[in-house]
Order: sequence, then C-alpha cells, then structure tokens
Amino acid sequence: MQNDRTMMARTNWIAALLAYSLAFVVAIPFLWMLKSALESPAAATAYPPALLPDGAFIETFRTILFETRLFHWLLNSFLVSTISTLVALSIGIPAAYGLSRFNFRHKGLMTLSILGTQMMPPIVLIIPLYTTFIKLGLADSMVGVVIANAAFSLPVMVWMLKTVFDGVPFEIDEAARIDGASWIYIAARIVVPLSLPGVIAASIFSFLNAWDEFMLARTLLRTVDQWVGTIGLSSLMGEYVTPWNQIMATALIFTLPPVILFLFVQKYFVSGLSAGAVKG
Amino acid sequence: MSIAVSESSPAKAFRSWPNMHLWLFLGPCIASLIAVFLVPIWQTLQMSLYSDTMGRNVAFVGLANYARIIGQDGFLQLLVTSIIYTLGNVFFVWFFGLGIALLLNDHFPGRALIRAIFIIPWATPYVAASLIFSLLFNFDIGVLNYLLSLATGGRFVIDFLNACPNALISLTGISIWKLLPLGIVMMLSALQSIPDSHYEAAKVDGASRLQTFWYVTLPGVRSTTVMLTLLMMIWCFGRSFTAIYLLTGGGPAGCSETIVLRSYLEMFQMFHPGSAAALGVGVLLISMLCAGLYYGMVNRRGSHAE
Repeated sequence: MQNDRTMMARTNWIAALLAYSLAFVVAIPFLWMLKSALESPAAATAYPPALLPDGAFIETFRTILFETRLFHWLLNSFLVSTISTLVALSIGIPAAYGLSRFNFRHKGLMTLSILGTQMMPPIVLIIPLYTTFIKLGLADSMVGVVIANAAFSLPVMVWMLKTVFDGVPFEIDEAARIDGASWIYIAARIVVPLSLPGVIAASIFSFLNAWDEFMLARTLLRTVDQWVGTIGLSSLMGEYVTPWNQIMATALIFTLPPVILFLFVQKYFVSGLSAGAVKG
Repeated sequence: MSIAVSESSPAKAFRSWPNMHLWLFLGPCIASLIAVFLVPIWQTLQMSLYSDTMGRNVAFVGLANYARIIGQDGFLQLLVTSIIYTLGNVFFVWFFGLGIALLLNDHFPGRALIRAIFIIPWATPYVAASLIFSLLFNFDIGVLNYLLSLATGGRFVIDFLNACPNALISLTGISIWKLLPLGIVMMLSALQSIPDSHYEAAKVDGASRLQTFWYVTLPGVRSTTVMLTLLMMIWCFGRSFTAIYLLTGGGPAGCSETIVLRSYLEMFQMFHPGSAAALGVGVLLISMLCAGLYYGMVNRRGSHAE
C-alpha cells in the first residue's frame, strides 16, 4: 500500500486528465461548428472530413453578412430580446422588491405561485397565445413575441432579483425611510444600484431566454423580414442550397453572443435555473 | 434555501405598511402572469373540450378529444417515446453530471476553464445545436460515421436520424448534451454542501474510497438527485420539441415523436385544435405532478436545513 499523500496526488492527476478529455468530448460539437465555419465549401462537404479547417473563411463571412438576411435576423433577435428584457425588468423589479421587503398574508403561497408558472410547459401556453395574438392583429408581428418572452422570463427574473435584494441589508431601507424617502425612491435609487451585478445577471438570463425562443416565434412570424435569428437559422435546416460552411458560420455568429454573455453569469446559473433549490 | 420565506425574511419590521403599496409593487407582475400563464391555460382546457375543427362551427364535445387520442393506434408509441426520451435524459444527465462534478470537486490546474467549457452546451441556442448535430450525424459526410467506418474498416455505419430506434436515441443524446451543465452544476453544489467532517469520520473509520462514496457521497447528494430528477422531468418532457421538430419531425414512422411535438403538429400543421389542446393538457398534468413533488421536496429540505 502506498501512503496517503502519493495516493492522493496520483488520483488527482488521473481525475484531471479525465476531466480534460471529457471537456474535450463535450466541446466537440462546438469545435466542429467552428472548424466547419472556417473552411471552404468544398472542404465542408469533403469525405473523409478533414480534422482541421483550411482557413478559407473570409468569403464565407462576407457572403453571410452582406448577401443573406442574417444581419437583419440578428437585429430582430436583438430587439426582441432587449425589449422583452426591459419589460420584464420593469415589472420584475417592483415585484421582487415587494417580496423581499414586505410581509403579508399568504406571501409563501404567492412566491410559490410566481415560481410555479415557470414549470408550465410552453406548448399549453403557445396554442392559445397564438390564437389570441392573431385575434389582436399581432400575427407576423414581433410585438406578440416580445410580450410572450417578457412574461416567460418574469418568474425566474423575480426569483433571482428577490434573492439579490434579500442580500441588501434592511437597515439601509430603514435609514432612508426615516429620512423620508418613498418606497419607490428606496427601490430605484438604493436597493437596485446596490445589487446591480445581480440585476445584470437576471437581465442576461432573460435576454438569453428570448434569444433562444423558437416555438412561438415559429408560429407567429411568417414573412422573412420579421424572422428572428432562431427562425432564420432553422430555415437553413435540410435545404440543399446553402453550403455547410455557410450554415455553420451562421450558427457560429448566432451562438457567440449567448455563449460570451453566459460566461459572465455562470455563477448565477444555479439560482437562475433551479430557483433556490440548491443550497448555495 | 427555503421557499417559505416568511420566517427568515428581513421584512418583520414593516408588518404595518399600507396595503396599497403591495398592489403597486406586485400588481403588474401578478396581472402579467395571469394574462400570459393562467388565462392561456384556462383557454387550453376549454379548447380541449370543444370540437376538433378550426373556424365557426365549434361545439362542446366533452371528453371526446381525450377519448379519441387515447384510443388512437399511435398513442402508446407516443407515450413510450416521451417516457424513454425523458428518463434517458434524467438518468444520463444525473450520471454524467455526478461523475463530472466529482472530477471538478478536486483541485487541478485549469479547473475554472474546464468548468466553463462544460457549461457551453447550455448557452448554445437549441436551433444552432440542432444544426451542428445534423452535420455531425449526417449519413454521408458526418464525422461520426467517418470515425465509425474508420474504426470498423468500413463495415459499420449508423443511420443516426432516419431509422428506428436510432432517431430517438440520437435526439435523446442531443438533449443530454444540452442539459448536462444543469446536472454538473447542481451536483457540484450538492457535493460542496457535504461537510468535510463526514469524510474525515469515514477516513478515521478506515473506509475505502468506494465505501466513502457509497456511505457518504451518495447519501449527501440524495435530495439534490431527487430534485434534479423532477426538474429534468419537467424541463425535458415539457420542452421536448425544438431539436426533434427540426431534425426528424417526429419520424421516421413517428418513432421519435413526443407528446409535445404531436400537440404542436396537431395545432399548426393538421389544424386540430381540440386534439392539440387535449395533448397539451396531458403534458400540463404530468408537469404539474412533478412540480408539486419538486416543491414538496424543496420545502421539506429547507425546513431540515434550518
């Protein structure tokens, strides 16, 4: 038997190697997208596939940025995601502040109901929402998609913000209250600025949700100019005109913003998803 | 952390604040949630009880839509497909999630970077992931089949998406890839919540690594496992749509069709609102059952932790 120390060191080394290899396997789809985006059309469909790109990507990116509607779709996605996030923030901040600072009867039940809505399967909502939006004249309009996305991210937003606001000492509110500040002033000028990183994280989560939303956008948005990124990108699926390197370059451009944003808010990941389920 | 916040909240001092403020703060949120969640659910329930046609002459048909769906030949397959897809996700996301979390729980050089890489699938938009996998799985030029034929001397390739049961397995794999970060992060925080003293006690008692894993680690992650399972059942089952819709459309021969996809297709391709709504209600009931169990767990755990 070896002594404890060498055993420990050896095990860690093996664990590290295993972790590196598994991370590589998990990253393969992403790396393959990157590789395919950076090669010529011929190389992208060559068999056997090359393991490294030939680097002929300038023409590809010029084409997808200037000769397809990609830029337009990205702009639409950006607008939908940003506006729905702003709407969700303007509704979510007061609600989270109320839940964090005030006591009232059935508060637990209220919190639970707000959280419970995020468990609803989207399909149950989208069937009637589609019908309603058509009746309201919002067919083929991004307004309906914005409204729905704002509401879809509201529950998680409220929960994350409430958790963040709980971290701001209540004495600060009391002091401001004694100085005669109104509740709205306290919320907007004291509590929100003090918990800005958390507010930004919640906004990013809401933005990413909207950026990724497919089902409702697919049913509501019909004309090509109204499409958001998910719909534009999905239209490349199974068609044989666009070469694979262009498809992957398009997917790459659409994937980079959320991946980069997400790396900033990693540490909020658990609280955003499992809504307080994990002690952290 | 507990959902029942009233005991631990700092709000005690302000018990006597005026009611008007409550509605000012919470009103817009509650109103929006009612408009976009409760009202549509009510409408879906209603729709499921009316005749299965678009347009004017809709009539109340009671539970006829439900009866017809359950009586259809494909119903069992639909149910089994959804269950396999969901349970496949639950098991493998837990299994790989726990395994990778155990690796990441130790210190090693580059751990932060590796951790970030493991989270990338979650941030990749589902539509982009579907396109990437359609290239990886491509029968003619896909790299997976290339590697397979290389390994077997060209004798063996897999039709990943156009054969049964391959299509369902491939789609389940994509979803596992997407949801793995959730498993890793949840299991990692569960592992970190196990007190060091438990491991020290095991060491003092002379437990082997396997025994330590079995008697300390596994019980330590049990409640998170249950919660991950329920959360995955809600997420995976209720959102089993995008990749399936894009990559196979439920085919071939319906063998990768989930209830959610079927409901969508009934509504938006076959124009059967009654059937679509009835299937949707089924998804809702199963999700609510899991959600109820989930919150039961969260609250129980919260009160134990205090």
